Amino acid sequence: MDWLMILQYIFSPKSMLVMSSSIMFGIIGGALPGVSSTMCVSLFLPFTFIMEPGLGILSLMAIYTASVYGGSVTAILINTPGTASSAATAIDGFKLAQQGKGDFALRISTISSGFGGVISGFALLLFAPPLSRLALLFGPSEFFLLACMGLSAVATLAEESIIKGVISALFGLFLVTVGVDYTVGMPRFTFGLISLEGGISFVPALIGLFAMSQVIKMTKPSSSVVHISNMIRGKILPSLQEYIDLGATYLRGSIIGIIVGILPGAGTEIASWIAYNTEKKMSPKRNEIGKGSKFGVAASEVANNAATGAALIPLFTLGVPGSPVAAVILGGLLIHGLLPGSELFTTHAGITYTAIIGFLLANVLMTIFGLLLIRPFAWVAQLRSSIITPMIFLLCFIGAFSTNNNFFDVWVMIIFGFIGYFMEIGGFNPAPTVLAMVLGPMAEQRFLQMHVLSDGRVLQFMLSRPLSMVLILLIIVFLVSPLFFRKVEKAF
Amino acid sequence: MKNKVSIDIPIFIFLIVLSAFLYKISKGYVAKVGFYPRMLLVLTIGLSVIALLETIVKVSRGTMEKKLIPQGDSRSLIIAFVFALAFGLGIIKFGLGLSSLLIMPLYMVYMGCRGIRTIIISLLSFFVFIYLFFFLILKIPMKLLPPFFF
Repeated sequence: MDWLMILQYIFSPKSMLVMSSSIMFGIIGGALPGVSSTMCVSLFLPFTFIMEPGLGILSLMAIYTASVYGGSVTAILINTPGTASSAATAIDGFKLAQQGKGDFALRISTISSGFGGVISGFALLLFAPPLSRLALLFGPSEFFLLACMGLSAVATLAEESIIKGVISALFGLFLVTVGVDYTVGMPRFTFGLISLEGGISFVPALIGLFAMSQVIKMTKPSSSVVHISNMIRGKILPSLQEYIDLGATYLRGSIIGIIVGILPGAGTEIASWIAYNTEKKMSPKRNEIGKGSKFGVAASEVANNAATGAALIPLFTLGVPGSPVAAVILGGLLIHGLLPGSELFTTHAGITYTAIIGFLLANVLMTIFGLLLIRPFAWVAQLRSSIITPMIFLLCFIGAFSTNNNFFDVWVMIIFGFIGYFMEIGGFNPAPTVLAMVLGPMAEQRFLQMHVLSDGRVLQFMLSRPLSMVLILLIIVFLVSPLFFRKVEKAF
Repeated sequence: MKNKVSIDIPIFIFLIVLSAFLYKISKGYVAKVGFYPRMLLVLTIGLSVIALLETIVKVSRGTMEKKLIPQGDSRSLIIAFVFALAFGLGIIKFGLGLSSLLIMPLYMVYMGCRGIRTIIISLLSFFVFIYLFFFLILKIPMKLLPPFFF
């Protein structure tokens, strides 16, 4: 693999332009309350199809990390976290803004997010390649169990009940069976519609479930206007003095972010809370935390961005996404013909390392943009939902259409928008549905292979393989771990 | 409020009925084609029944709060549906540009945006972005204007 070529490609004007626009899109999207990181990545996904695979995946990763950072802008300025992962940032960040130190809080959050993101990029670069070699040992039963493991990890994200998460996953697995069956060529559940014979397109369904459903939720008259310009009046560029005593905070936050990020079902949100509360217990200035302290802002922001790259480690190596955003990125990988596992680091090493090294650079660029554009981003935070919602509505239509350039996908997106809305109202997380749509074909194919190999004795076959046993144990751990995380969250 | 049914209950009933209906359809498929979806549908019915019973017991005991569609959401739901339907049909019939021009200002006004200047400026700047990014750079083959404009 030619590292010089990778660097040349990353620093080419085209890559820099794509990276910069993805970062801007991510920061602005993340800063808008109601627009989640998952929504940002989903909305951008169809536009990566025309890009080269490395650049496409890189842009999705850049949007992910930038949107997690973007959430801190509104958390600090108007006490409304743009994304859930910045909720802990709001506690001290908003207090600092009220004291007239909004610019200072934003500087701390920007540098901390950039630092966390870079560290997580290095973790991805160091840990992912050796772990990916594990996938070489896998047969059909392990691949089937891996799909189940991914689904169990995301199914347990359902806030209320694991049953609802599993039903969401089953719904996604069922959706994949719609269309012409690939074994005998017989149409299933198409109801005579020719457009359904090719199956339900993943991207329009994804946009519907994650973006259109939120647009439907936000379609309410509102006249609230936020004025925050008086909070941003100081200097923009940071001074070294502001960061000298933050070294230990950054170290703690990065370690917590990476560990929590790798664990499926945990994510950026839990990472930021654990880091914030650890800081509250271990910081030499712990008494100031909660009253407007830079340590609180830094701990939360360094951890949530450190979790972004770490969350991609199980995804790239085993194809197990631990969060909804990772599930969307997995969809992006598969659409570009990239299968997670060892191939990603051997056959497609050029593409993968382009994305990972680009991710490191994207975090640096995000920090620079964040520092230089603090004031315009603060202006974005003032945009009313009466302007934002119709714009996202329009983007949903364009995104759905551009997937296959047909209008049938637009109707699919609208229908899934309403399905997603009702799923949310009923406490069903749409993430397992999306992931099941991605992993469904692999699960069905491997299940049938295993069925043939084992002469119908599937369970016996699985239990006779040690690696399958390990995966079954891991599935049980994933199903139980949310209960543990909920307890940890409550304890902190 | 007390007499209203928790939304979980109709959702689970709907899931059971839908899965049973799809199961009936799948019976018409050859074994190899129908086995996998049937397995999924049986699992969905089983889990929905368990969850339905759990919800009924918990709601009747008062250990679970009734989940209802938030107040005002039903109206917004219908409005969102009308906008989505109108916009979907509009872009097929009139192209993206004209249908946006007709529907987006209405949407913004419904959402509470009252200043004509705000509507015009935000729409114009967004259209410029859409045109540059999607039509010029990404070259998506969507109609911008209806055929009679050409």
